[in-house]
Amino acid sequence: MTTRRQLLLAGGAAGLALALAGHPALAADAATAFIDDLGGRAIAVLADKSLSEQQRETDFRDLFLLAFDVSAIGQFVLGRYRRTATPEQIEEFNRLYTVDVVKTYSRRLSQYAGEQLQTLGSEVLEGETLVRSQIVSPKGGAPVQVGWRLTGTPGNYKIVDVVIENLSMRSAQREDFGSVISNGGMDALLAGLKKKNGIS
Amino acid sequence: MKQSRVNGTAVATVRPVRRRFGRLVAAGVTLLLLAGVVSGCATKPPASDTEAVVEFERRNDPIEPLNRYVFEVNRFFDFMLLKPVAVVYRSITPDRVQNGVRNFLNNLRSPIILANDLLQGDLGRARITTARFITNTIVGVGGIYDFASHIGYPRHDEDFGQTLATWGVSEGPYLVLPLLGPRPPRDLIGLAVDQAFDPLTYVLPANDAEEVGYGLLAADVIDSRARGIEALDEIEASSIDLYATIRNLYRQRRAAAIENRDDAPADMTHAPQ
Repeated sequence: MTTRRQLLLAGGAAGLALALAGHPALAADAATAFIDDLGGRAIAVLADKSLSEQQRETDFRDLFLLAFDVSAIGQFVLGRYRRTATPEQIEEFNRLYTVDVVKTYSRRLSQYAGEQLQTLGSEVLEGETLVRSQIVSPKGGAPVQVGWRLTGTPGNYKIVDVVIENLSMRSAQREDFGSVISNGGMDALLAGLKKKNGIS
Repeated sequence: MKQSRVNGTAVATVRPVRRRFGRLVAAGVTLLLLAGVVSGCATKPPASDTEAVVEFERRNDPIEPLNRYVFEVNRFFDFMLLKPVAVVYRSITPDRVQNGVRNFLNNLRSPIILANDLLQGDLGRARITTARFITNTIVGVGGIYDFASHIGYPRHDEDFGQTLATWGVSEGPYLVLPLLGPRPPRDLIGLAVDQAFDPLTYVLPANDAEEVGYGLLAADVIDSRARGIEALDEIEASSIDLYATIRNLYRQRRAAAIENRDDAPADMTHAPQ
């Protein structure tokens, strides 16, 4: 147990050092390298004590908007309701949803407590590239399995779904939003997004 | 469903519900369902709106208003009692002890997993479950240490709901039960049958030790809830309609469990060379 933990720690420290030094880590393929690089950059922002709170938020925002295909995810989660919404509603949705994605992932990252992101390789699945990874907690216990679904080609990958322990986040959100819209219309969803993110 | 960090709902992870308690819940559920037939049916969209009909059928939640009501009652119970207890448990119990409790409870579940491995005709996994049970009971000091997972016998979970699914039985309409959380008919039957597979169901009453069963149940509920605190908080924070989100996550989690996509990865750290 002790040797295993020491090994993990040593491996983790080495991985972190590599990531922080800006190396593309030891990735076998471009998609895996993309996720490795992203994880390294997110941790670098978190670890940089010289950043003000505001600067950190801005950095995260830039990072997420670069890495996630927010408009594609937005289209997916709206599903069939996209066709019946007015252009103004769609425009407002895109604005609010961008804020929402940035806020959600900033919140998740802000709970960071020394975990390691270890990539485990990639495969092509239903026209998308799935990068498998696991998050190892310094507290021990079973690692959390996280999959990243990417679209695009090497060099311009974008994340379209995050799959945590086999749970697709975009699928859950489509059901969430679909339920809100079918009960109260598109305006109920826009109001809900505003309320959730504290936008007036 | 291994030590699920993303729990269906607070009380969805109640696994080995034992005996009388289960019957009590079943009686309550029957009453609630009768009431639901009268008052709690979802409105079916008109047949002319084909897309809406397709969505209604995919959602498969004919008593949605009643389910939502029970869901809110469960959330209230969780907020008032279960979550505070889980928070205290986690704050006063060292990580090592928590992991020991979880390993011990998991080990006790082995006979249920074995029975379902066999019913699914999966002899390879049945062998792993047996090896795990023997290894962890002896080397792992009664199951407190999960030594088997470090010698290439990773943990997997099975239940009779999953077995029914592999036999081709569909989940049935979505159902949220008091205290138990999401439990569609197939998984509810699974829960009852798993009790029959559990030796403790017979051993404990025969020794006048039913309290032990309640203690184990309480430990399981509290430990499972404690493991899902952050995950559930996060789901609450990131969803607008929590009920609909949980319904989707429950089904995704069951689908992964049925297809055995939820197994822990193999670890050979301490395996003999």
